[in-house]
Order: sequence, then structure tokens, then C-alpha cells
Amino acid sequence: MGRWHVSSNASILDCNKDVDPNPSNGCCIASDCLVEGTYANVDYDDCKARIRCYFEKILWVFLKEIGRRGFVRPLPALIGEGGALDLFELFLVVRDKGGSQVVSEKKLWSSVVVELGLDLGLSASVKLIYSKYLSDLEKWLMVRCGDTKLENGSSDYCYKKSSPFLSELGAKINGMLYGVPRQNSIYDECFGFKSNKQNGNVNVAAAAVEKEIKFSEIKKKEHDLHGDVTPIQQDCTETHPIHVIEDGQSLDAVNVEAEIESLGKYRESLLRMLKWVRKTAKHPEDPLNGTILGASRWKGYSSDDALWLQVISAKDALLIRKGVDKIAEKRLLIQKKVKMHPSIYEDNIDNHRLSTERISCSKRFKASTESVFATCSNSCPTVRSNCISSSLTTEVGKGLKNQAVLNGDIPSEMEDDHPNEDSAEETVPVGALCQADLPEWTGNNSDSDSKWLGTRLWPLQHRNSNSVRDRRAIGRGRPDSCGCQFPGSVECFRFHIAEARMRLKLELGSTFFAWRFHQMGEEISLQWTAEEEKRFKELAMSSFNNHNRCFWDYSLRWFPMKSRKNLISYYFNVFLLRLRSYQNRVTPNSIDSDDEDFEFGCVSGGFGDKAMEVLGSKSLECSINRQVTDVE
Amino acid sequence: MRSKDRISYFYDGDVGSVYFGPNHPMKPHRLCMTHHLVLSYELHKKMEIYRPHKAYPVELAQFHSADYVEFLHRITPDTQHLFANELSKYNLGEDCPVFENLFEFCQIYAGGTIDAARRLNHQLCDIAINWAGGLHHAKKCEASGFCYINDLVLGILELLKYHSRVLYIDIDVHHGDGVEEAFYFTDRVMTVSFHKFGDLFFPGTGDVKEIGEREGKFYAINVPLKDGIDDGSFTRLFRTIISKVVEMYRPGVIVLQCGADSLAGDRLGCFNLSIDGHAECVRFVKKFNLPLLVTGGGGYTKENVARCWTVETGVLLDTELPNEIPDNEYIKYFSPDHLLRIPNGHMENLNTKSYISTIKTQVLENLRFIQHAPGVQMQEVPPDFYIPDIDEDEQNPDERMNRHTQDKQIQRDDEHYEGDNDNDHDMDDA
Repeated sequence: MGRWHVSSNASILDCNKDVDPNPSNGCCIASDCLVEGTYANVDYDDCKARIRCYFEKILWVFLKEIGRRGFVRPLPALIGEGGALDLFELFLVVRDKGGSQVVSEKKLWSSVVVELGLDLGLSASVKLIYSKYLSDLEKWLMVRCGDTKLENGSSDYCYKKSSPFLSELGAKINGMLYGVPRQNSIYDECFGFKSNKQNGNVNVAAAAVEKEIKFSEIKKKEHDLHGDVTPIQQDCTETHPIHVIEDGQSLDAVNVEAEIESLGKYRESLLRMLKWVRKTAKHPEDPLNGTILGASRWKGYSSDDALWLQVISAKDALLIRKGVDKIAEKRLLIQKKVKMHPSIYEDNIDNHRLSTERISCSKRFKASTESVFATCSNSCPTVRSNCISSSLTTEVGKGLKNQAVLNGDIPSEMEDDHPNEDSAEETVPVGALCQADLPEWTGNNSDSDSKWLGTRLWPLQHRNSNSVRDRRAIGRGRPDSCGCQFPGSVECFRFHIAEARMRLKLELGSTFFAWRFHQMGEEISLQWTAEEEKRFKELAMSSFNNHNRCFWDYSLRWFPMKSRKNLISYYFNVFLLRLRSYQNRVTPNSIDSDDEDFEFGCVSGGFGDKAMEVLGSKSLECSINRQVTDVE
Repeated sequence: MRSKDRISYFYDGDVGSVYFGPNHPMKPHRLCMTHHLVLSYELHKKMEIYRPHKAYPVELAQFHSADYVEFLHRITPDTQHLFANELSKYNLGEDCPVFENLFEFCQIYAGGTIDAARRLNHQLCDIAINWAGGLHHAKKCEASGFCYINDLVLGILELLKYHSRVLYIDIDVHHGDGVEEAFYFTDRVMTVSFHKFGDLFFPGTGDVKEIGEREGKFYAINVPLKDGIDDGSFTRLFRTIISKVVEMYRPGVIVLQCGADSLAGDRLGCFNLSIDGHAECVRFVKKFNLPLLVTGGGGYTKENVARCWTVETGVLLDTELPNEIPDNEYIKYFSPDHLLRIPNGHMENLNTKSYISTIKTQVLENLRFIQHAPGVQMQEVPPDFYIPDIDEDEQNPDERMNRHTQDKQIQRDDEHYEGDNDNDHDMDDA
């Protein structure tokens, strides 16, 4: 629940930004227009889009509320063969026709379906979806608005275009957001703070949020004008304090009843935090910055005395915001966007981070905390300003939370909104979009396709079952001794590998090829010329060390005669194996063939006939024996 | 107990050349290495090896939404830039990149698990192995954590056609969230997952409090663990919980996900299990002598994955494998010592005894409820049912004490349900 509180704030901002391509006029401004009746000046579609944004917001909150009472309504609503139904359009169409009651009475559902451009056969399901998703909302909106016109004026609406209604809805939603006394818990959730104060207070709060939006947009503009990256970053951090004060002021207004000290403390700590971030960004190695502890040791630190913890909180809020993109809205799980694998997506990771991350996935969070702002600076200025403004929004939210705490009114759902909570309340997503459809258990065996049971490749069809002699050999390991002239030498190794391969080939017959064993092992390199191999190695070394993700595309261009499959096969069967031989001999203490970020000298040469001569050289043998003493 | 199990093993040579992209930790080449190692130990002589059919989109849509399957089918690396919205809708991209032959890869591993389930259904084998499967994170409508198609769910759905109750066990270091989610509302599948939990470790779900909902309440078990758990504590916990689960739930078939990222030294994992500790879980599950579907899963240090799954293939074949790896094409991957068993890492075990016992108590507490709320056909007892004794010697005295106290506690608590006490005796007698 705490998550929701934060993100609802964030996503209001989000909405504005997503819907509005023009940063100078935010959603709230448009809604103001609606209230003041200057609707005609605003582009119809544009406005509709904004109202849609509000509508979706409210609907979502509404469904969540319903969901809490045990009726799960997954979004988006699916219809027919899994297509998503546009609930906003549906709502508009039905309202145009005078509301669901009228539509049902006059049997207009089929025309609703036609207007939505859907198949006529779906009218029953459209009706069902309406009753599940929207009818409550409709009722609620009617009551909410107290608008008698709506109730008795249904006939008017039948003939009007949807725009008057749109403006009405806008006004209604707008009215709901700014000014209507709050009675409903849904509304509380809409903003995520709970204070049973009068309208005025709420208005101010809304105004503060609005200010925040405007401010961030102005800032965004500023950034867009800037050309150079470095000064922007500077600029960005410099503007923080101003921004904070701005927020602080609006918070002042909100905090009419809150103790002034708390506010001062809050603002001050925020300032301190930002200062710390700036300092750390400038001098990352400075010991004065303090050390950032792992999540398990966070307890016992309050965000007041450890600035880094505040930064982490801000970053967490940022992560959450990321998770709240429109599609993923239904989930709101922070973990959803947590990457299973930490390091693969970042282009320039330094070796230090790579090595710490390898130890444990969770370490990533520690590492990325240190570089939140560094990551930001990689992206474009607009994005960065977004990041910062949203993290500050969270701080605003926190300020409000502080206020709530001071008022002795602690909404329970805010309690667990703490980043160092190990056991974050994550519930398993439920609904038709998540669970498997189970066939009813009938007791007797229902049909299971016996057609596809796999194709037997082993044991071979035409052979008799294995003889007893064969069985005895199962699971034997490496023979203790061999008849080679120099047991343990490279030649000996190669001989036995080749021997094993031949034996396998004889035994498996055609299966050998079915399992692609002919494409296994270093023998693949025989299909490559020495020149090609050299080129591949050079290319691979330079690409991987520079974290060049396009390596395979490049290499495809470089080796027009090879297919992608050939290249990958060569990579795993020859290149990596040689890398391993290098590591085994030269750096036996840091063997890792999974990390594609390597240092690779050269010890091995070609294969085939020449291999013996090259690899049999004395010097190489010596180096094996010296470095790796525990080999045979 | 049957003298010899019939084993079906699924492998398709095409998985070896699947590549997720540079520096992506998931490397299907590990399957190729595993198969190679299995063959070099000549384990193939003791089992039947099948090439799975490539699952048809309609089969995949038994669980997944049709539009998602269709999208996976359609998308290629060259066209992905045209579908930015869909990519994010289906969570494709970073963790789950779109690569060449993506759909074919999904078809192969899902086909393997489905075929394995069908062979078990038709009693053509007793144990079916598909190391390519076990991609337990995939959700109904989206990819997640390197998993695109949830073959386990598909396999379990297949098994549910012939069995009233399926037990799913997951020893991957990550929570088996996709499978749990799919069967969250049903008591016909019990999901038990042992995983690392906390510190925002992927996927973030799997708290001990997640127990299922509606009919499925108490039929999802989560055993959240902390970093560095070692063989001793893990296997003890595993045996205690699994034996109790099997005793109470009486599954007709068991599905075991053997993600090898719970091994020490995994690139993404953070446990400290040795291969023997990991394989011990497989050995224990095998002892129930129920039809068993074994799949792979995670595992990001590919040499160790190959080692681990080879050892476990050996365990399922009742074959002890010598520690020295025989010569084979990939021997260099196993250098310098060419040994099958890897040593445990030097890691601090953050799971204190009290933590483990709290978790255990909670899990066993939840388990008590299932006998009082019997699901479908609880009376059906599968053939060859057998519960192996827990090797008491291996447990240390305090642990044993704990168990006894616990049992006593359970007994005492049961007295509240006076009428139902008889039930217990029935269960014990069966």
C-alpha cells in the first residue's frame, strides 16, 4: 500500500507528461480551462486525452478499492479473443446514451458495441464488462457530482456530441481533484495522504502538486535549451535547492497546522541530502561522504543521520516510478523492474562494480545507489530532470507523511513505505491474466495427446539392448593411467579427447549428428582459416572489453561466409575453450568463462595436424607444470 | 520399491547454439555441455533419450495468453524496434531479450517438458528429465527473468489430466513465482519453493506469508532463505518440509525444478550449496518413488551447471559417478583439476538456526491446515507410495530436539480439533 501512495503522486506527474506533448501546458492547466468554461479554446482531442488520463487514474483507484473488497477486476479489460477494451470509450458511449440503465432498458447495447467498432456478437460481454468495471463508477460519479442535470437530463445527452459530456466529466474530475470535500476513501487514495481537513487544505495541497508539475516542466524546458551535457548536470544540481525551497513553500501552505519545526527540519534535511549528493558526485572517493551499508544493516539508521539512506529512499521512489508505466500499472511491484541480472544492460560499468556484482545479485542495489546520478547523466537531460523531480515529489509526499505523523494520524498503508524493509509486502498478482485455467478434475483420465511423446534417439532402434559388458562401463571416470608415452602431456590429453570423440561417434551413429556433436569441441576450428580465427579473436576482445553489444552484428558483417550459428558455435566451442586454457594455465586463480569481460593472452595455436607441433613445445609444458601443480 | 526406474531423458541438439546476447548470463550452451558430460560418463546407456517435439503455439497457449504466444512467434531481432509498446507490455527487452530463434528455443524446451509429462502420464517411464526446461518465472501474459514460456506450468497442466494432485518443488535460488502464480488458486497443485528472499533479490516475491488464496490457500509454500545457506541446513530443512508435504498432500506425481544457481559460486546466486548438497535433494525426492518430472532451471556458471545436472542424472539413474571427469571435448571447461564435485565456497551463512527454525515452524504450521481442508480426491492414494525415513543420524541433536518439540506442539495443537484427530491416524495407517 505504501508503494501505491508514492506512485500515485508520481504517476499524476507521469500522466501529465505522457499525455501532453507540449510541456508548457500541463494537464492541470487544461482542467482549469474546463472549469472556467474556456473549453472551446482547447483542442478537442487533446482535452479528451487528458480527461482520459484522469479517467483511467480514477478508474484504476476505483477498481483497486473494489479489489480490496474481494472483487478482482484486472486491467486492461479483455474482450473476445483477448483484445483490450477501451473502457474510457465505452464509458463515454454509454453515458452519451444516457447511462447504463437507460441503455439496458432501451436495449441499446448492440448500438454501443457498433459505436465502439466491435463485433456485434460481443454485446453481451461488453455489457458484462460495463457492469463489472464501470457501473459502480458511474453511480459513484453521479452521487459525487450531485449533478441533477445528469440524472434527469439523459435525453439531452442522447443527442449531443460527446464533447459537452467530456467537459462535464473533466469538470467533475477536476472538481473532485480540487475542492470537493473528501468523504470517500477512494479520494484519499487518489492522493495518498490522509487528512480529514477542510477543503482549503486540500486545495493547497493540490496547488502544491500543480506547482511542482509546472516547475518541473519549466525546468525541463530549460534543460532542453541547454546544449552541453556537463554544465547541465551542474545546473541541474544547482537548481535543486531552489526547487526545494519552492516545494518547501508550498509545503508551508499545506502544513498550516503542522509544527513549524518539523517542516524546517524536513527542508533542512532535504537540503543536506542534496548537498551530499552533489558532493559525492564531485568527489566520489571522499571518505567524508560516509560508507553506504548493505540493506541488511540499514536498520538502526534513520534517514536523518545518514544522508545516503535518504538518497537511497529517493532512488527507490525513482525505481518505483519507473515501474509505474502505463502497462505495468496493474502490478506496481518494484521488483517487477528489478533485473534478474544486474550488469548486462549498463554500457559503461567499471571493473570494480562488475567484480562486486558477481558476488551477489543484491549487491547491485548498493552499487547502483552510488551511481544514481551517474546513470541519470547518461540519459538525456529531460529524463534526468524527470528523475529528480519525481524523487523530489516523493520527498514532498514524505513531508506530507511527516505531517500526518505529527498530527497523530498515521495511515496504516504508509507505514511500510520504507526502503529498508526487507519483507516488503508483495502480494501475488491474481486475476484471469495471471492464473492458469485449470481443467475440471473429472476423476477419469481425460485425454492427453499421445501423439507427441518425443522421438527416441537412444537407444538406437536397430541395435539390440546394450550388452552386459557395456553396462559395466557406465559412469566410469577418468582412467588412472594410460599407455601414452608422456602421460599428462598435452599430446596425451589431445589423444584421449580425440579417442573419446571417435568412440562416441562410433557408438552413437547417426545420433551423433542429431545431437550436433559434430559441431562440438575445438574441432570446429578446422572449418576456419587461421586468418579468420585471428580476426574473430581481435574483434571479440575489443568488442567485449568495450561492452559493445553489437559484436555479433559486426562479426556477421566481418564474416559474410559464416552464419550466426557458426559464429556462436565457434565462440563457445573454440574461443571460450581457448580462453579457458589460457586462464587455466596463466591465471588459475581467476577462472571464469561466464564473464564476458576478459583478458586473454595467447597460449594455444591451431588444431589438426599442426596442433601437435605447436603445443608440444617444451616451454608450454613447463608453464603448465609450474603454474598448476594439482593437475594429475 | 521398484528395482529399476525407467528413465526418459530429453535433449535437442539445437539448444546448444541458442545465444541470448553478449554478457547475458543465461547461456543455453550449458545444456550442450551437460549432455556432453552425461554422455562422457556413459550414462546414456542406462536411459532412453528423446528428442522432444517442438511445442505448437496452441499447446503453449494452454497456459499463456494467445496474443503473447503469437507475439513471441512473430518477433525477431530485426523487427523488434517496430513493437516498442508490445515489448514493454510483454516485458521483453532487457532481462528477456529478443534473439534469433527465440520462439524455436521456447518450443524446444517447452516441448521437452510437455513430452516428459505425457510420457509419465502414459506410464512409459518413471522419471523424465528435461534439463532444458524449468523456466519458472514466465507469467501468463509476459516474460520474466530470462523465461519466456513457462514450461513447468504447461507440464503440470498436462500431468493434471491424469493426476488429481501434483507437487511442485523448486530449489532454484530464485523464487518460482511463475508457477506459484499460475496455481495460486488451486489445491490441485502444491508449490513448494526454496529460495533466497530479501534485499530486493529477484523476483521479490516468495515470503513465507504467501500461502495461496481461495481453494489454493495453504497450497503454496515458500521457504525464504538468506545468503550463504550451506548443505547441512538446506538439506535438513528440505527433508523435513518435503517429507511432511508429501505425507500430508499425497501427490500423484512430483515435478522437481533443479535450478543450479543455488550452488556455491554461481554468477547470480548467493547460496553456498555443494553439488552433493544439491543432488541430495534430488535423491530424497526420488526416494518417494512417485512418478517424477525433473527439469533444469537457473544456473549461470555453466561448468557447474553441467557438473550438477550430470551428477543429478547419475543420482536418478542410481549411479554413483567417479569424481574425475573422463576425457571429452569440453574437458578444458573443467580444468584445471577435472573434478566433478566443486568445493563449497567460503561464505558466511546468514541463516541462523533460530531463523531457520522459525521458518520451519511457520511452514509446518501452515501445512497442518491442509489435512483439515482436504482438496479433491484426497482419499486417492497413488501406487507405490513410500516415505523414506529421515536419516536421524545426520541431524544434530538440537535439531532433532527441535523436531520432537515441534511434533509435540503439533500434536497438542491438534487437540483443539477433537473430532478430526482420527483423521491423523487414518493418514498414518495408509
